[in-house]
Amino acid sequence: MTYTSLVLKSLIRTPLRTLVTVMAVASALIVFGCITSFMSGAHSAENGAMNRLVVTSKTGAAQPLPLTHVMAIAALEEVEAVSHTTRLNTFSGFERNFVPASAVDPDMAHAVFGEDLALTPAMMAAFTARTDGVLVGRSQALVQNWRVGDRITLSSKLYRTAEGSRDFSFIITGIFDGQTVGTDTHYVIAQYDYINALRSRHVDTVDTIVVKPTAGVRAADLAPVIDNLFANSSGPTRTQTERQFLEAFMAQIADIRSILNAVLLISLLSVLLIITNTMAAAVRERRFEIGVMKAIGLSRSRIATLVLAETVVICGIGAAIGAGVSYAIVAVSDPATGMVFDAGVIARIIALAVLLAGLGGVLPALSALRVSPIKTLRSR
Amino acid sequence: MKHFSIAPLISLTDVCKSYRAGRSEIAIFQDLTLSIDAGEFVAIMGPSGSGKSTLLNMLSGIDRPDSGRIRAGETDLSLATERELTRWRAEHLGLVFQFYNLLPNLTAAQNIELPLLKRPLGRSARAERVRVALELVGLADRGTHRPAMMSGGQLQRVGIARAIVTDPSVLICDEPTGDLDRRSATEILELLRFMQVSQGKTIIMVTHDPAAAAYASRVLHLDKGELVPARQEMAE
Repeated sequence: MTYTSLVLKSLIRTPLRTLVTVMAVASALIVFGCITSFMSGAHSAENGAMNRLVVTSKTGAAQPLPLTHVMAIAALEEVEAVSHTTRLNTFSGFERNFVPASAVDPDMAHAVFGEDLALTPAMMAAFTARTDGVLVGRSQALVQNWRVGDRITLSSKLYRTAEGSRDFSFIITGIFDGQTVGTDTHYVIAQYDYINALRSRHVDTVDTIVVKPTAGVRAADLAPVIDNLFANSSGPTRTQTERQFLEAFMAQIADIRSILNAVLLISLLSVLLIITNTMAAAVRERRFEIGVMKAIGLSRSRIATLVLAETVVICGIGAAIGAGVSYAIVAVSDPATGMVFDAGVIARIIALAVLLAGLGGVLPALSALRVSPIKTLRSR
Repeated sequence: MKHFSIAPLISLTDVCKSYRAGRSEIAIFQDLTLSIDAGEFVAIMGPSGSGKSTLLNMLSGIDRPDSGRIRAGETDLSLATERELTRWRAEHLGLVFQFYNLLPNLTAAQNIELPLLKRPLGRSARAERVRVALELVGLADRGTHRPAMMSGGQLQRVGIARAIVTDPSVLICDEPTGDLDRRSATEILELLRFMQVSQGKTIIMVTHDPAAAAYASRVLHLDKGELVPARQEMAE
């Protein structure tokens, strides 16, 4: 027999209670795992780079900017590369099948995003070989069951052709995976010249301009230079880092995040109370045995450690179940959710389980510390 | 297992002990002085409330005197910290309880092994000690039995095995036969005497039973916290 087997024997003494507590911990950690996967996933503002700038119209991100701004920014000494995007707001087949698509200049986009999106020279060559070529992110391709070579039609809610059709036809020339598992690959990249030639309004405009500063130039220093450049033009700009831009975007769903955080906090507090109550009940039931163990020479600290160890085992099993189920949920969930279950999520689940075990076990362990052998022996 | 271990001489000098009951204080002992030699089998008798259990608790180091000194060998129990007392109990003392106080979810062997967990012994060394202890109490074939599957006499044998497995020099027994029938009680008392005679243990036993006390080499009579001559205690 070892201390470990003593802990396990204590736990299986009341199997139902242990099982219920483990499942309570697991449930809370499943909620935590899924929310963390969502927050650390493709929708996270943390994916935005601090060293890239996003230029939008000062009057609002929905207001387009003249294409000439792109050339003016590219001419600045502090700028290494520049790209622009134009949102198409498209769907495939039916309106609820939303397919995010943006039109870009292929070479410019490659210079700025090529590394992040893992765009290979072969992929770029195929992409630019025809004007109606598009690159599709892996996640979107999986959802739509698209393959390279497929002809697809995307309907835009923003633009129509000169003939009045909102349908734009494309050929898929490549599927990109992104550099990391957290990279958003749930969209389509089309070519600006193709769209610009077909659309009937906002011709020669772009929605956003992405700027990569020259090495040694701080993005924060470059932002006012760009804004000053267009301060007195017909299209004044607002320049911010990509992360700030995404954070502003994410603020739109901040309420949802707040609610999710509140739900998470409440569920964690609930499970903390469950753990504390369960272990306190276990210590209460075993007061006499604890008193006997102290009387026969087991130290106070050793007994408190045994109680804490029981909590650690409960939370450890709960964490393993929680992590496993979270992984399964993320694996079968719609990629559009952008959930990513990576080592960071596992680390956070483990850290939370340790915290729950520590906080949940401390009061029962203190209670075990205080058990007086003389009082318990007298109670018989 | 070591035979004839060098036992501490236990001595109480001017020990006072009282308990608070509400606003009043009840004196249990006033200037109690007593000594027990190594290898003795001492029985302590007396009516309820005479201080027998309090005396045992103080000798076990789980209770402290208000004043006076209790020495066990080189250790002054009245001055020791709680940690030192715990260590002293683990190293020098075996406790046998009236109601056995075994952990119900552990087997007999595991209950016996419990005090050994603190020792720097490997698993096989612990198993060997448990085997020897089980053999000494005549339960070699009952190691895998849980307390619920055993009789009162067998449970007390397991209790004694747990007390001796660490090879302590002193066994403190709180009415070890109080919950047993006459036959089982006799077996347990024979076992305790065997521990004294062949293992060299110092045995201090509280009992109400004169037949049990007859196994001791010395009988102390307590009444109202004082040691009294046998006849006076018996008369009351």
